[in-house]
Amino acid sequence: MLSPRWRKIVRELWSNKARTALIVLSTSVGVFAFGLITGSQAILERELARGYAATNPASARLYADHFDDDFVHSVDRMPEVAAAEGRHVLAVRIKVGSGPWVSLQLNALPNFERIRVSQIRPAGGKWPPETREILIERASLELIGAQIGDVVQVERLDGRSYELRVVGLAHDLQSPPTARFEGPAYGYINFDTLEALELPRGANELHVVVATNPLDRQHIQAVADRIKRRAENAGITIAEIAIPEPGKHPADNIIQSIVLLLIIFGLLSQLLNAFLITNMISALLAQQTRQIGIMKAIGARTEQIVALYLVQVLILGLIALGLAAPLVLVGARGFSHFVATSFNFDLASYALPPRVIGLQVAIALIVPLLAALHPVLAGTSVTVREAISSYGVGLGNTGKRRIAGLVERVRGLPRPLLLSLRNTFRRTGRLALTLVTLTLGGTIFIAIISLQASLFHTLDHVYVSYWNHDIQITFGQAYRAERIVHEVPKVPGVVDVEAWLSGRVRIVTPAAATVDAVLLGLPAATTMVRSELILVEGRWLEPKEEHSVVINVELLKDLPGVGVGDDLIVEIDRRRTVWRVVGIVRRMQQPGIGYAYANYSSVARALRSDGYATSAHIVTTQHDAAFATAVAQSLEDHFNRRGMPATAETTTAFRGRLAFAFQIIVAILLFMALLLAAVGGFSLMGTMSLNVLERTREIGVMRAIGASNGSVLQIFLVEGLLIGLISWCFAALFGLPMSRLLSDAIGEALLRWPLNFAFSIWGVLLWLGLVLVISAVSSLLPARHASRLTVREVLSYE
Amino acid sequence: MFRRIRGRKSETHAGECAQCGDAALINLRQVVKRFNSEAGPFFALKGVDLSIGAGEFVAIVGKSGSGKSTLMNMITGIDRPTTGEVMVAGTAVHRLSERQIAIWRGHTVGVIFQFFQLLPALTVIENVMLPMDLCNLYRPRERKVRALQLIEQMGIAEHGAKLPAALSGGQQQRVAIARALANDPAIVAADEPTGNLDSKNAEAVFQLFESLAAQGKTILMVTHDPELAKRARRTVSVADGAIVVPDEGQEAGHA
Repeated sequence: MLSPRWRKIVRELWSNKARTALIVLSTSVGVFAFGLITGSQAILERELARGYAATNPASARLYADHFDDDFVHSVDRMPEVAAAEGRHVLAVRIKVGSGPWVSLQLNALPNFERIRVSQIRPAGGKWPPETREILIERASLELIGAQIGDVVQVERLDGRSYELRVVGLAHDLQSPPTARFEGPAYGYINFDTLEALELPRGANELHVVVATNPLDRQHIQAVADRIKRRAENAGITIAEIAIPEPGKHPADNIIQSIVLLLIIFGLLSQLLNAFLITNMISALLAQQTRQIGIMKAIGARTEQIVALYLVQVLILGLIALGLAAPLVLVGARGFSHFVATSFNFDLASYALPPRVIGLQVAIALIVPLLAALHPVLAGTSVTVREAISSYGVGLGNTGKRRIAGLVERVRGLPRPLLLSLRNTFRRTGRLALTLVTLTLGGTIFIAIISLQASLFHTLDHVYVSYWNHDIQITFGQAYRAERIVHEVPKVPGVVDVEAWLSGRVRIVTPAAATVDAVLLGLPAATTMVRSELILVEGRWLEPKEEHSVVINVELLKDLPGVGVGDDLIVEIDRRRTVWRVVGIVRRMQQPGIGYAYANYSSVARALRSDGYATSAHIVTTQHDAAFATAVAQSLEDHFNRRGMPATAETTTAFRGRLAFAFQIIVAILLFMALLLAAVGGFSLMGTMSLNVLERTREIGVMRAIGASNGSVLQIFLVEGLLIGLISWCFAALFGLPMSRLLSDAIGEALLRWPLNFAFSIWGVLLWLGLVLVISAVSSLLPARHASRLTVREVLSYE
Repeated sequence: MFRRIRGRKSETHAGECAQCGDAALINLRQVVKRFNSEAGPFFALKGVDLSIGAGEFVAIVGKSGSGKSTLMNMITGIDRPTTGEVMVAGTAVHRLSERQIAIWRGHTVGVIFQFFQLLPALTVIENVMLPMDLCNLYRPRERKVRALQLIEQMGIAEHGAKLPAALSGGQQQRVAIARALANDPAIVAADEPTGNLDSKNAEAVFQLFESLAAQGKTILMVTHDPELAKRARRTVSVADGAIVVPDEGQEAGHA
């Protein structure tokens, strides 16, 4: 049987349902948000790592024109190699019936029954495919618009076309997450089908798994270099070696960045929740000052009373945990599923590890306890005399009184409005806590909306302002620049064209390591780049400048210690040349790839390709997506007909691909912002409930002297709206620096550089609307209750 | 007319009471209580000396603001003297920490307030059990039995399971008295216990105090009611922060 003091707290929890519900709801939201984030992180991290490891990903990929079977087997037998497998990868385009062409990366595998490296798995339909049959990556199916059983047309870059039947689906964890929405799509055929496409049987990619130290990048590089030497001895020229980040799925970094940000928001939601609890418990203690005094008068020690209130808070935390824990299970499952689907991987288990459950328990119990500790200690330290003489909590220091004094000087307003205004500042401590909670929620909300604006501003800045072209054509090999420039205007809708030259090079770092990069040559008088918009340091290239490069931030990160004015050693076909770094730019076209930009003439000489180009940048007469897409299609057709295989991509398509990733982040962050707004709303509702409760007698007096229900309702409504409005002013004020911080942080996380900052006035106005709705609802509910009490009821209120 | 008894300087050491006889349960020596407010310092007690013997039934009377409640608060440890000594049942109350005072009070003094001050969330029986629970007196099983006995003694046994809000003022005050007696304290201190009751209930409550005094409890009662004060064995009149002795008739608190 419970002793009377414990029964007291249980009954108070039950009889003050509104207060109990508010604290429980707010804490539940906090626990849910935190549990959802940490739970999803644990599931995604575990499942992505597990799923990725299960595909036996390649430690290194080597590219050449042709790897014969003997060479592949010889590499497979090397002691430092666990497995080596060849495959043929080629860029084609695909369409179903009279549908649009879609770029397709076609992967030809020698043996579907025994894939040892970079494994793909069946995902429906027939497995393995036979001759003239193709499997489609499951995330690409929608993009292609194909069904199992359809006959599709596959066209090589040289324009030769073949028919293949879609017989099944494959799941390829190596394919990029954006393949679902933007090209290229992914398809899989066997080597017999490769021959049917009139291509030589054999591999052009060698996927290798190292035997030891699979996570040691340097070791992998050393093994890859040994294979390269072996290949060169066998007369095979290795065009490129790619070493993906060992043990990490390509999407791992972006998922981790998102999760890290969410954790920050989870912590902020805890902070808001803590404010709310502090507010509510302070008010509870103030309300129960007399009871505390009585308990002390009949022999209670302060620590006993402290324990009573802290246990009360613990019970609330436990109830919140009970509510939130099942929701976390469901939420983490749903959220993980959403992310996994977006990034095209499967979750074998949704089990939450014990640490996540432990963390939830800790958050549910410790945060409320810490938040309540100060008000409980302060409230219970009251002496019996102070308590029973009903001193309660006063207005506090003179600073606070000064605010109240200022408000009292306000004249000329209607009496009820004046009353609302003065009431707002009656409990400055409580008001401050509520304002902090609402302001924090609003600030973050505005920052997130601004983040969205910054993300898209960055995209627009880069693709509309920085890149002046509408279409980029990439050729399968280098062609005469003059011919490209001559052919492009033959396609209607083209205004301007520039031919650029690029090649893969190696840059020797000051520490004597090598870094792969792309050396890109631009015409000296390029009109396709507005360098001033992306220049981070130094300057852009000057015409006729020789052996000067501007490097992007991605490359800079791989070259520690290098800055503007330093020299770089660039290795091309074992020839080394020295280039001077004159500037640093940001670039987003292909995140993660290091670029060095130089004048065309220097690059052409270095690559021994004078007069040749590998890509064309085109400006169209109209800049809308539909027009550019149509012109891009015509250009592809035009060049393919002329035996110059090329793929064209519009700037809009590029933008869309990045926008997709950004949208996911913004959607998740917005969800968190709404949770924070909900906690802020609960806080205001708590404050208003207490204000109403405290003024119950006052309400009775007002009613007794003729105030209608409407007048009482209005007084509290205006008070709530005033608090909302004040918090909005602060949120708008702090929203700017917070938006900047968030924009920089997200830029660093996603793009390794701060975003082009944009502050969203729309976000500020949206929050104004939201906070007014929250304020109105939060004050109307308790005020409605108060306005319904009879005069007799409220005047007898003790 | 009242004659003011001026406090005399103490010649004793702290913790001792030179003026008090061995039989005195309560000894106040040169007790001064000063409150600081924005209007300046206010002296609620101006060097009060007072001795009360065990088993006495003392009525403390005086006008509003005279200092009688402050005097009561000194004895119950609810408030501390600014200077002076308060010895109750051999304990120098003025030297105890807040924690020690709470424990001491729980064992020694039963406090009754004008507005009953029952905890609204607890039933009558639970309100009475609460001091035993807080002071960890009596075995848990005995507490309910004792509480039942006390409310029966107060004539409200049938209301044990009700919440205070369901009782009349007189009934609530009886619960408060039962609660004050829960830990079987030597002293029962009541501040205006009948101030909020009608005459019938006031009489009934006063009779309870009389019976408690007859049982040997030391009763201190602050009251406005001169008729009730007359029925106490001794009256201490407080005016302007000092104990006054009536010119004739009533016995005054000795200095």
